[in-house]
Amino acid sequence: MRARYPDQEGYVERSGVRTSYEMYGDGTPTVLFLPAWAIGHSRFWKGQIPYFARHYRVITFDPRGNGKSGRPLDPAAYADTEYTADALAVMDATQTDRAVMVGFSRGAWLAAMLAARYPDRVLGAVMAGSSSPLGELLPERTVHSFDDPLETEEGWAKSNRHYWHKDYRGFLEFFYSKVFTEPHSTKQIEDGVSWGLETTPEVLIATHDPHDFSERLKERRDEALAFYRSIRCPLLIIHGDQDAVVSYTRGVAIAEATGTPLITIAGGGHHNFGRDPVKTNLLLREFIDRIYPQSNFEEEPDGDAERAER
Amino acid sequence: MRARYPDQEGYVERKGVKTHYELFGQGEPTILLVPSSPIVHSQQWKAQVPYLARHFRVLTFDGRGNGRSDRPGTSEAYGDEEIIADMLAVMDTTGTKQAVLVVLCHVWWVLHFAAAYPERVLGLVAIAPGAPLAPVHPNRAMYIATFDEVPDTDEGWAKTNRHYWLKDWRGYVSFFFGKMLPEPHSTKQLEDIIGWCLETTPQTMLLNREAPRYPKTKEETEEVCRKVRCPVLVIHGDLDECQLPARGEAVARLTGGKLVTLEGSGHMTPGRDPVKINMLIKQFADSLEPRKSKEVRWTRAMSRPKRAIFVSSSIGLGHIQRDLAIARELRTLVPDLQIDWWAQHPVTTVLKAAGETIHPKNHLQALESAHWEEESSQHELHAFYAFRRMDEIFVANFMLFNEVVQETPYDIWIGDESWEVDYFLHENPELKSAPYVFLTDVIGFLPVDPEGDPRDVALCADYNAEMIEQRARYPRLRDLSLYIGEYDELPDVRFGPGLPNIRDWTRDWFTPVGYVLPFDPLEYRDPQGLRARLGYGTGYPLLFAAVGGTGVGRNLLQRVVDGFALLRETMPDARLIMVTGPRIEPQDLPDVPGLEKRAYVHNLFEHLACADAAIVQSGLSTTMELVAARRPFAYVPLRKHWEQQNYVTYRLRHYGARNRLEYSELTPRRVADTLAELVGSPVTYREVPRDSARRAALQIAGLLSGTTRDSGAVTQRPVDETIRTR
Repeated sequence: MRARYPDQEGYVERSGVRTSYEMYGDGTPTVLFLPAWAIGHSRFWKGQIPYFARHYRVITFDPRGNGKSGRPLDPAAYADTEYTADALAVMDATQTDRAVMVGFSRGAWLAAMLAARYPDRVLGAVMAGSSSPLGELLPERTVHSFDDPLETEEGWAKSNRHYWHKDYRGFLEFFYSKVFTEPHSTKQIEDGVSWGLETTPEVLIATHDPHDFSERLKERRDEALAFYRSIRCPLLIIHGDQDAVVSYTRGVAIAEATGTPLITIAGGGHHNFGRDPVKTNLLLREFIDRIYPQSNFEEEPDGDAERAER
Repeated sequence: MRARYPDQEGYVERKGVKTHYELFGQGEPTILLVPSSPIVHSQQWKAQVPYLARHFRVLTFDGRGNGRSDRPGTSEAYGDEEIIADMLAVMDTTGTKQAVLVVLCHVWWVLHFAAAYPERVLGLVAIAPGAPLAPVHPNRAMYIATFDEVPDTDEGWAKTNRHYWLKDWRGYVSFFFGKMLPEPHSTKQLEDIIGWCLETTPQTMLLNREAPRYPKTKEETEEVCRKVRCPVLVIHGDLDECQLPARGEAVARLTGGKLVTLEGSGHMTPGRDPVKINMLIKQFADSLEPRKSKEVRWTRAMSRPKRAIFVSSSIGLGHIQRDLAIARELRTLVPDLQIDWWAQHPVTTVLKAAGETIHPKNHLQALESAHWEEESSQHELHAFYAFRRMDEIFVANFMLFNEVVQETPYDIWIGDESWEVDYFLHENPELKSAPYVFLTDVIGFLPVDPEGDPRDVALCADYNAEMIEQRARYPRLRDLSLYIGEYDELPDVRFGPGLPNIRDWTRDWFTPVGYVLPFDPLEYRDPQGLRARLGYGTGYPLLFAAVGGTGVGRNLLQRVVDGFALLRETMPDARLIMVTGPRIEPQDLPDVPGLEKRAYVHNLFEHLACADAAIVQSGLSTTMELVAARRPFAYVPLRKHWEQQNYVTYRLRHYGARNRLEYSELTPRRVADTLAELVGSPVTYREVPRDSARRAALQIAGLLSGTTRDSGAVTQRPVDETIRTR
């Protein structure tokens, strides 16, 4: 059973692909929690939704490829530009003029794209465990081919189209154990695997290498730097220093490129919002209060009075 | 001594009237602490300035009529137009385009300022606002109508009267501000305010009373409030006897601002609850400007090393020696414990020499030792009053400590006579966020002369009563209270009239660990061998004089030098080693043959342990080191020092050290005779326990491990044995 159910649900459709969204609360501002890779969906934010929905207006949507959204098989449908267009479509459908964008992993890259390209729609952008054209790949992820059949199935060799067909569940368990490297993360891993099982290896293969904007920027470092520097809105950048999926160096590089202090979660892995929800919720709330001081987080139900007892 | 001095100060002059201002700090935005009324001056904000100046630029000025500003002789000169123009002039002179205004009580003209000059005002904090939006407080409403008439009584609020003011201004302000501070144990705040009131005159206050005001009526004020556009925060105590809380509610409602009610508080909250007021002001100012986030590193709980913050009182060098001994023992019990030290000069010198880690923000503390020196004179230190006057320093340092422990989660806070931490945690218990251990060797304040000044007796009792009440109300605020000694080393007297017996109370509220020595006395039972090892040689009388780590002992050392010169007439081969301490320059004292002066001696106790005789101030640690090392010595308590006169003397007598000298009788002849008698005299001291540091460490380790296993291992009893020795 969830801790909080949506007040409104719906979907938008673009070129035959549905994007399903959920909306909670009615405060100000709107906080849009972006999807990450289609290996999961909007339930990634289960530790955030009930807290933020008490005081802000919260929107989540499932990525095309998982959840209640459509599952095209054309790789082009999974370009980052498709996801950002889906996000804007959801905002339009919910009459959301501007929002705080929150993303992790691939979703953090989406937050950056929205902030750079649609500044009039973005109040601020939060990027955790950011996938990015900046920084370095983790060395262990550069070894094996995705497309070729492999001799080994150890470690990141499981990130391989043939392996996914052979033992999809095995890949999910491996992948999520890399997302959550913190000790005693069994529940988070279990959740992740169950969300991964809501889609199929075929779909996931289609999402793997969309040859999209972020791919192109990986080859053009100067353009990538300029792209991040073009972001004007306030930023919150978080990265775990034990991130085993996306290198901590990416967080460092983004922070440096944008002139924003990096918030390091020492001992933290890839999905800090999932594994350290209290701390990240407090960091996010402080960020929203800072950029939107008229947010009504402090209001008590009976009016403006706050009582402090001696 | 102030906790923070201005970075810039000066005067503006308008129509021949000078206004003095002070400017502190360089953060953003500027916080302008507005004068309330000529009845006080800018020192009313003493508990706010040091803290706010660390984060913001802070501007204060003395309103005309008090402080360092002029006192014009007409009512018009005290009109609202004039004070507004003065404020603008101060802002302009200091290049202050905009500011957050903070005002106590007299808010009506500040509301008008905010409405008329919106481009100059970022926000307004109105504490206990006074404005005609609700009735005058009923306590004095009837006396306002008859203010100018000759009163038939001067009881209570009837003192609100022109004739009474002129007749007995001190009586009026004592009564009025006594009512403004309904909170128990507000003696220091009251004393401060009365002092400021006495810097002006009733004549000035009467002129001020007649001065032109705008807004004046309820309607005018409501209209002004509606024009205020900036964010407003109203703070109001529900026991305010000056301004009814209804006035605060009205200001908040009409300006669209926010109201915070302080339950149990009166009118003077910036002085009486400075921690809460400081935090509310900062929170408000932070909310107005987009703040840049700072680099943050947050470590997952299970990845954190074990860390302690150890606060060591910097009054003298005695506490740090026992704290280092306790830390050494603690590390054998909790080997992976990292300790960040929180202490001040001169203690930092000792810590650095010992290779310890000092917290990086340590140096931002307001200096205590400078204050103690300022408070002392000819071998005299009214320590209780000096302590009492350290209130501003205590608030400033607590605010800093609080920030530091919020930034870094420690497993434990250990405070050795960490008075500011202990007091303000009891006043703001919600700020405690780690297990907290308090250690002390002195319990309560005792008047220097119980038959003497009744004010001394009453104030000491008041302080003790406050402590007793705080402990009873928040018993678990301290996870451990450790007494450095055994119960019978405490004076067997009451805390004050009607208060418990000190020993009985301590038995209920403190765990004794025995007197903590920084060394094992058994290792120092061979003075001759020690003399050889330390390079003193043997075969002559070796004498020592020491006065601890502050500058107050200078006069004593001077007399000892003179006395030693005399002694050399009959004891020509005597040598005197004089340890001046880090705050007295050796070259400031004269040179005589046989005298060797040193500023600082590391591990002084080793040297004292081979003395044939010593003459010392009556600091606890030095005297107890001499007792432990079984050396003959005389001690000279500082005059009017409650701790040295009472507690140290009592404890030393318990241990058999009876050579107490009065400074007033300490002629050079007396010094010479005393030293001559001491050399070679037998000592009959009790044994000082050897395991006290370990007992303290076991208690603390028990907290860190969460079990009673370790602290249950404390079984040793002190040996009640008198030892004779040559």
